[in-house]
Amino acid sequence: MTTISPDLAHPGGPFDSPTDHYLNHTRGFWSWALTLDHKRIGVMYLTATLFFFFVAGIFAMIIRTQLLVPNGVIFTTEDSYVHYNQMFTLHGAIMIFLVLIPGIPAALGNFVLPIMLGAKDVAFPRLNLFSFYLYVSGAILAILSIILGAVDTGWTFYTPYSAQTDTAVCWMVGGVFVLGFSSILTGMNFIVTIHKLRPPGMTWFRMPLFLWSTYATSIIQVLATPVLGITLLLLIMERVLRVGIFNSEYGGDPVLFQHFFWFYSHPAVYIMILPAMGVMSEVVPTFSRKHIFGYRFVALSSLAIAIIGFLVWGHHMFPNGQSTMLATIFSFLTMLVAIPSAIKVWNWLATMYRGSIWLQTPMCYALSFLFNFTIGGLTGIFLGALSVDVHLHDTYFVVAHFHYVMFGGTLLGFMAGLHYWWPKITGRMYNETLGKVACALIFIGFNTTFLPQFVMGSHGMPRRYASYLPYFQPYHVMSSIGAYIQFVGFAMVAAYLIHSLFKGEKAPANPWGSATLEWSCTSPPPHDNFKHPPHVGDPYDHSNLVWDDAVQGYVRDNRLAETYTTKTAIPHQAGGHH
Amino acid sequence: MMNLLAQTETFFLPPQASNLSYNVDWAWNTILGITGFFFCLVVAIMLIFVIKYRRRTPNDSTPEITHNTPLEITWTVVPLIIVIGIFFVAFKGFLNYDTPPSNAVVVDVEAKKWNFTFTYPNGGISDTLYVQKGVPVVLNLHSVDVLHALYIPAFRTQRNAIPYRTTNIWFIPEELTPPDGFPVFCTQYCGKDHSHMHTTVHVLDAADFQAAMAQVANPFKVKDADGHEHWVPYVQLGEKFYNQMGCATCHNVTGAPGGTGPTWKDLWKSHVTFSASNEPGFELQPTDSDDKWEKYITESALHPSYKIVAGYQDQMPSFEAQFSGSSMKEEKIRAIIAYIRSIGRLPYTPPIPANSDLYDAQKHPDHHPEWLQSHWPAAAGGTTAPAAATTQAQ
Repeated sequence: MTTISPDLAHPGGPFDSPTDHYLNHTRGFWSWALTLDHKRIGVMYLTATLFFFFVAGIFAMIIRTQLLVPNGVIFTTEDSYVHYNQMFTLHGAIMIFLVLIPGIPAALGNFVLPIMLGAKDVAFPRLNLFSFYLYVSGAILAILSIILGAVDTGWTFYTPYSAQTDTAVCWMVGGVFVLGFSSILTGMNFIVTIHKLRPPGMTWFRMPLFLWSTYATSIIQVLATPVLGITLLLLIMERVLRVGIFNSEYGGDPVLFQHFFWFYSHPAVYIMILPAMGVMSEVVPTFSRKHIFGYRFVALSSLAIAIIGFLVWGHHMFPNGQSTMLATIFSFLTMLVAIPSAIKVWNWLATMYRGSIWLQTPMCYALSFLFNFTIGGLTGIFLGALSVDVHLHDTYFVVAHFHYVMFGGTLLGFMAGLHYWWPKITGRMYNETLGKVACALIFIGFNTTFLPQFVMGSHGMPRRYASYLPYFQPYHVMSSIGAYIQFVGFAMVAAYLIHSLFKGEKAPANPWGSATLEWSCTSPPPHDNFKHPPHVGDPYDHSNLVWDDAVQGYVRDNRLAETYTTKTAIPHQAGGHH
Repeated sequence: MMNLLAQTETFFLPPQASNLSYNVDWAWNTILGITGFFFCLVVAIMLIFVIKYRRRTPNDSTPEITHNTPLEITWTVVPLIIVIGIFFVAFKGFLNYDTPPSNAVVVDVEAKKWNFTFTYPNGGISDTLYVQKGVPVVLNLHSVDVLHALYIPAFRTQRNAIPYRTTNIWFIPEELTPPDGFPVFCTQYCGKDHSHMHTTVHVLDAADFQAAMAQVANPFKVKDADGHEHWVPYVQLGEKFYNQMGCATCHNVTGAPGGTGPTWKDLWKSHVTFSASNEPGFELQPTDSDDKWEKYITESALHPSYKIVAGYQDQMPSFEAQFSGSSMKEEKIRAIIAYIRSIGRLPYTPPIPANSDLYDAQKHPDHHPEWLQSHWPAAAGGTTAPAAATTQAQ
């Protein structure tokens, strides 16, 4: 029985800087455009996602600048309000469909998922590339829609307004439809990869938790996204053929659209947050140098979220003309979905207990996630509670709540993951000091932006207003200042990450002392990831990883490793089952 | 907006002004207390751990703690019990929203891009909502175009207005409002001017409420401070309807280009061509008779899609329901026409209302010639008074 993978036993060690890796294995435009390498596809997703994050961020800055004074700074006449409406629609649609949904699973997930499994690639590399091109096509349609008449419906495309407005709804909706297929195919690919490509010794309950959360995410992607596709197709038919399903002018039911839409879009919230929770479950143990606490609870809570998440969509419609009975059932189920998230928060906290907490940038983002996501989750209880929601529905309280989940959760999780895997992806270290400063700026800016929105929302400030009553101005000004602080923070991140690409120190194979498999191959990984399927132990056992000053990273101490493997006696499965 | 600073306002919530407020606020405060406690707990534990267990050396050895099932079951079950408790508290409050008392006053609310029109049991209409303190009210909401919602923060209630469907909300107003009322918002995004779709609700005592009802029922007459009843000049009324019924959202009166509908400035007796018409070849000329023009404007208000002015879309909702809901349909349209004529190119002298008792000096001892001259040039015999003088009367 071999105790460690041959890669690790390589005489030169995996820690010297590799000369041949996935980035320089082949060269030229077509070597990227037609690549089947999951790592390159991941990097392309990452680049696109970061670009769209920048675009949506600019829209956010325009929104916050507009709202500095009650009658608006940029769009001051009634006719120009339509442009404000386009701004918040594009901000929402781009952030959700082009950044948050593909951000962690398709960009970071594509890169690390197969390596975490010790596999050479995903199960269907060609399908993976096809998914990427679907993403690109959807993005192009979305960009075309901006040029042809930016959509002003809100990202929710509620009928009958979306069936009547003159803006390029069909293009944007068509773009989202295509993006949906990208998401479905990526999900399918990951499900098959996790089922079939796990290496010997990696049983379901020995998988890194990031894989569990990606698995749960993929299930939602595969099951829920088709409903969005059907809904959007019907919306296009409504506009083009006047079929009268959603448009009340032709006998349709606008509330039915909301049911269809949220049947996808509520689970989509979990498509966005679950992978971020997965990142948390990797980052917290690594930087606490401790075993994840309650592995099974964390893993199974991901599945619980995926399942219960399908049954709560009606809580978006308590005062929207839904029956009292339905509202009651949805409220009850909504309360239940809070529990698996709470379990995860407690387990991450418990993981830190008696750990050795290392405040590097990824961990700073993880702590920021814990703080903000807890606010996001707990304020969800206000909105899930029936009578309180009637007061808070469609106010800034809702805006603040979902930003605490989507930004405070997903995006900070993404930032944690980006910093955590950056050395692995690029082979370079970024500047830690700047990383921590930017993280602090983003934390402060984010809370300055969105805490006042809870207060103005509970006072009745409606969302999607281009102008507002003067009473709300102080809150809006504070909120805008916070947004500018965030912008500075993100500009810093962009600056030091780009700088690190060219001038950053070479990254060791395992800079943080993580026990999962992606850290056992070089940074950046070689083209084939692993020459042989590696043997795996417990992904959260850090006891045999020791700091090596020479490589400025962690190396596996073979003596400790042997002790460990003897102790836990991994069953050896014969052959690599690909 | 000083009213929002009324004494019952808290840091988080607007004043409690209806029977629905109490449960919502109680539930709010309970949830705030519980979630606030857990939030502080999480952050405190996190900070303590970060400080106490900070890394000393890169190779710190840590204990191997993998799980603790009783502990994990505890922090699963305890929050579960708490959230189910919260569910029931808020559920109980939610049932209030669905059970209006049978003696409630029913007010019809029509939502359209981008204003609300309230129709009272006496047939009167208004663009702000008047309710009587202590008297339950049901608002029957419907929309004539897209989704809207009516939200009154001080009453803690809102509901969507849906085309071809009636939804309702009810409440018992419990606090008198200051003169500028409590805000009422549309919270369901409804297009360009969504952010201007807000108005106010006024909670009045019995006497003020009766006066307001009399006023909305017969907008042609007002009482002045001395209790004298006056006929309101047509042009002035027409302008009021123009703002109140929402004409102003699409038709400007400045002549500025680019409105959703044609401007009303200099519209009267101009040359108008149509891109679609139920009468083929229909056109309007400066030489056409007053009758033809009045007939066209009346038709445009009641059946706007019959004739579409060249260069504009067919998107105006019909105002038939709002006019026919009142006993004074023709008078109201006549007032709007008077307003359009007053901002036209031609000099205009407004007519006297049909059945007017303006000349009855015994009923209106204050209608001395000077008053008549400034308000009703036609009645006073000064037929040459320019339209501008009339519109300035208000």
